Parts: sequence; structure tokens; C-alpha cells
Amino acid sequence: MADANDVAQIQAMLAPLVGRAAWGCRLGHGSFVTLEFGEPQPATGDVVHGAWHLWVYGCAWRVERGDELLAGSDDDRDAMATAAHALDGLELEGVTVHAPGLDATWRFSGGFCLRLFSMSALQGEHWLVYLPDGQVLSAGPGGAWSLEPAAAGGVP
Amino acid sequence: MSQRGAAAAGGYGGGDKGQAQGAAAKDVAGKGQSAVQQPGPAIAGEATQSAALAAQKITTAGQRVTSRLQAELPPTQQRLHGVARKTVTGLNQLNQRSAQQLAQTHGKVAAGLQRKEAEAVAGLDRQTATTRNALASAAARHRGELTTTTRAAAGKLRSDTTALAGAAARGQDPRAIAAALEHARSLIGANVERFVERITSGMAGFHTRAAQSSATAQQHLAQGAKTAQGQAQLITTQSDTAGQQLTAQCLAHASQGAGQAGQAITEEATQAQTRHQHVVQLATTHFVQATTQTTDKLSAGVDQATARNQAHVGSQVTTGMASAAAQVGADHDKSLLDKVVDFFKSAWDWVSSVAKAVASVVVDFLVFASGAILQIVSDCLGGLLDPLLDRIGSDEFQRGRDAGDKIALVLAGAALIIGGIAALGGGLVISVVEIAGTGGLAIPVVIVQDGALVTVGVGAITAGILLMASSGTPGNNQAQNRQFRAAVQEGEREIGRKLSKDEIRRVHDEISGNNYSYHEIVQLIVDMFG
Repeated sequence: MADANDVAQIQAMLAPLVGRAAWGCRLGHGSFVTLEFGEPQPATGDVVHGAWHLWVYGCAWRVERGDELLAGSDDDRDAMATAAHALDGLELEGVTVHAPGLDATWRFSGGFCLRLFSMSALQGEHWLVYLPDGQVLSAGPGGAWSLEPAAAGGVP
Repeated sequence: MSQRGAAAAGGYGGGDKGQAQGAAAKDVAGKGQSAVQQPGPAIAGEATQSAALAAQKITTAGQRVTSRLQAELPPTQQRLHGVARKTVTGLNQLNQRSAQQLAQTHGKVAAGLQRKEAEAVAGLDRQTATTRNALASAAARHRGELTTTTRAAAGKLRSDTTALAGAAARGQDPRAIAAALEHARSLIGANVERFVERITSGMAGFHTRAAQSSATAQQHLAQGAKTAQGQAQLITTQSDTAGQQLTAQCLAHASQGAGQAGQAITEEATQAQTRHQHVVQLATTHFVQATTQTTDKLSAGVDQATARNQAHVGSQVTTGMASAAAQVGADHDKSLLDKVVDFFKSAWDWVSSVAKAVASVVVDFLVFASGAILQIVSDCLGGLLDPLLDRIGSDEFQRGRDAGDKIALVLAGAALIIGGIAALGGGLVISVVEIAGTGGLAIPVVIVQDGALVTVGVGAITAGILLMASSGTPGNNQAQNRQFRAAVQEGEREIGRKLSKDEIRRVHDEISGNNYSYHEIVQLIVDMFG
């Protein structure tokens, strides 16, 4: 279960993102959403990623603009895609991570906000952030979090 | 009396013959009693034999059809992916060429504008220099004239002063001196006035010419600026026109390319659909044949078993299945999945209760099928039902789960289940059976209701196979998320190691927006990292 100390560590890791503009915001498989930050990196496939890469993975999410609810992870694909694209080019103004479940609020310029809600207390990652140094910050399962090399595989 | 009595005893079964007849009668009576008390095993043996023969035929037909289906799908998918890749490549090339043309045109236009601007500036510079030279020349000329006039006046003044000084030295005639002085004064005054007049006149002329030159320069400047502005507008218009033409050409090419790609994909899809329809028709025909044979043989055996055991099972069959179907079908508020789960819970209770009374082959068959089907459903849901299924303590059921796990056509199974469950609302109990050893061949199942066997589902099978051919990801967002995670886990099992976060991200990059199915994702993982 995450506590205030965990939240402080995670927010410190995400602090360099503040002030950067999101780009390449798109809806992936299912309700997965990905956002890129920072300089584009050499592509290993068809998709170009930023130095920072947010992957909204196993959690629910909602995009808001002020008092307006734009779309959430249970809406139809068109609405989800439109909400994801709405974050394109917006400057990240702050990230707040909430204990104990590692819910998170990503605040963007123009009053836009991406809210992440962890849905499981036991299994699966809620959201992932690929960092420029090759590490991956994983929120979940439950209130746990980890920092590991993105290239690390292993024996199942 | 005793002899008559003995003879009578011999005539009515006494003696050796009588003993033999009595023993035979007792044997017949014993066999009859056995046959009456335990008819089940004999009938079960017949049903088992019939079912085995039918299952063997179904297995052969199923393997053939499955092979055809499996052989047909990958080439079609590869062709479609190939066409899509070519289309994307072509559009990218067209886009690049258009961008290059636009860049070249913009470069030419910018160069032209710069050249025109430089020419206009040079012209203005030349006009400014000419004006400046003219003004300098006029000023120099006036300065020379003034200098000459001033020198002439000064020379005259000096000579007159000298003459006056000479006359004064001579001192001979004061009147002449006075007259000479007066003459000299007048000369000096006239020269000074003429000098002032010349200066004033020269300055006025200088100002006039300067004003004329300035006006001329301003006029030239205005004319040059107007000419440059007109040229800039002309170049802008030409650039806009060129850009619009290029844009129109790009759009036309893109539209043409998209149309050609769409037509090619449509043709490929139509051809694939035609081939699949042929295979489906073949499969349906085989299904119908196999089902008819199975149903005929099983129904004959089970009808006999049911009739002979009606005292034990008739009421339980009718009550149990009708109750399960009615209870599940009547709950309209539940989702389709909940209905599936509820139905099989009720059906399991029924199967367990009837298992003690009906020939074991029928019960085992149904239990096996229940396990297989529920495992298919659970796999489709990313193992959601596995904890529940683990609790069922039946070896046959667990063997059925193992078989269900191996079913290749999971989506077809799920679609068939959906098709079968859809009929629950009509009070008819429908299910699907995966035949052991066929590698996933599904047939419509026989369900006992009111002591009769009902065969249903051929249409649902056809619809299910068509669904399998056209559908990829499940409709629900969260289900798609679970599908991806389950596929990653399955892929990791197949390649024998865990994927890194980078590799999982690459898988996601690859499948995003492409409507991949569970098995396609697993296969992609194996292809990429296996």
C-alpha cells in the first residue's frame, strides 16, 4: 500500500515532465491511452516515442476540461479517441499521485485534466511511465510500485 | 397311494427330468430378473459404441475442415496485410513527393521574391545616388559661381581703392577726389548689391532645383515601391496558385490511391469471403451429417435408456432442465455472460443429479462438454472463470476443461455459445460440445428435455464461423484490456520467458488500431520474440 513517502518519490520522478508539452496522444488497444513527452526517440518500429512515455494501462480514466467531462475509458472508441487527441500539444502543469491506490491526476494547460483510477487492489499495473534513462516506473499492482529497466525480461 | 403319489410327483416335475426342468426354469427366471433389474449397462454399451463411431467420423470431418480453415486464413490475412502495407507505402511516397515539390516550389518562389526585392533596392539605390549626385553638382556649380562673382567684386574693389589711393596721394583736385570717392562709393555699393542679389538669386535657384530633385526622387521612390509591391503581389498570387494546384494534385492522387487500395482490399476480402463461405458450407454439411448420425444413434440409445429408466430419471430430467432454463432465461436483467454462467451452474446441478440414474456414457459426455465449453468462455475472458471451475470436483469435467483449453477456434466457440444462449429466452436449452481429439471441432449438442433428444445449432454454428472470420477484439473496452494482458501471458508461456516492458510496448504499438484477436496477438508475440 502506497504511503506519503511513496507518493513523494513518484512525484519527484515525474517532476521533470512539468512544463513539457504532450504529443502523440492516442488511443491504443481497448481503452489504453499513450502520451509522449520530450524529444522524439529513434523508432524501433512504426511508432515514434518521446523520451518520456505515459501508458495508461490497466486503470480506468477520464478526461475533463474545467467542469466539462469529455470522455472516459468505458465510452465508445470515437469519444475516447477524441478525448485523447484533445491533450495533444498541451503543456503539463502538474502531476498529483494519490495514496493509497496510486490514482493520479495529470493537469494540462487550458484547464484539461487526465484522471487515472486504479481498479484492482491485487493485480496488474495501473499505469506506466517510460523514463529517458531506460527505466520504467510502474504503478501497481494495488498500492505497490516499481522502477525497473524497460529492457529487462525474465523467466515466467 | 404312495406309488401313485410318486408317479404323480414324477409327472409334475419329480425325478431327474423334473429336477432338470426346474433348474432351467429357475435359470430363465434368474436371467429375466437380472435383465429387468439392470437394463442400463447393456444399453449403455450400445450407446457407447454408437457414440464412438459417430465421434470418429466427426473427428475426421472436423480435422479436415479445421485444416482447410486454418490453411485458408493466414494467406488471406497476409494478402490483406500486404495490400494494406503497399497502400500505406504508396501514400507515404506520394506524400513525400508532394512535400518535396511544395518545398521546391516554395524555394523557387522565395528566391524569386528575394531577387525582385534586390532589384528594387538596387534601383532605388541608383535613383538615390543620381539625385544625390545631381544635388551635389548643383551645389558645386552655385558655389563656383558665387566664388567667381565674389572674386570679381573683390578685384574691382581693390582696383577702385587703389585708384582712390593714387588720386588722394596726388591731392591735386579735392573735387576730383570727392567725385572719385563718390564714384568709388557707388561702385562699391553697386557691386555689393549685385553681389547680394547674385547670392540671393543663386540660393533661390539652388532651393528650387533641390526641391525639384527631391520631388523627382520621391516620385521615383513611390513608383519603385509601387512596382515592387505589384511584383510581390504577383509572386504571392502565383505561389498561392501553385500551392493550390499541388494540393489539388496531392488530394487527387491520394483519393485515387485510396480508391485503388480500397478496391483491391474489397476484392481480396470478397475473394476471401467467397473461399470462407465455401469452407463454411462444406463444414456445415459435414456438421449436419455428423450431427444427424450422432443424434440418431445417441437418441436411439438414450431414448431406450430413458424409457427403461424413466421411473428413476424422467421427472428429474424434465424438472431439472426446465427449471434451469426457465430460471436463467427469465432473468432479463442479467447480461449474456451471467446467463451463460448461471445456466451452467444449474445445468451442472442437473447433470450431477441425473448422473446416478442415466447410463454413464451420456452423463460423461455432457460433463466433458460442460467443462470444455466453460473453459472456452473462461479463456475468452482472460481466465475469469478459472477459480470457479477449479472447484468442480469431476475428473471428466476437468478433462473437458483441458480439451477446451486446446480449442483453436475459440472465437467460434464463444460465438456458438452466444448463439446457443440466445435461445434460452425461448425455453429451449441449447449448448455446444467440443468433441474430444478433434482439435477444437464444435458440434451442436443434444439436450435431454422431457425425455427426448433435441438437436439444434447448425445455423448458430454457421453464424459463429462467420463471426470468427470477421471479428477480432471483443467489443467491451475492459474486455479488450484483459484480452491483451491474457494474450501477453499466453505469449510468454509459448516463448518460455517473460517479455520486457519495452517488448510489451512494441507489441502494443503493433496491434493498436488493427483489431487483432487474442490468437493473433499471441501469434504476433511468438513471431516477434519467439
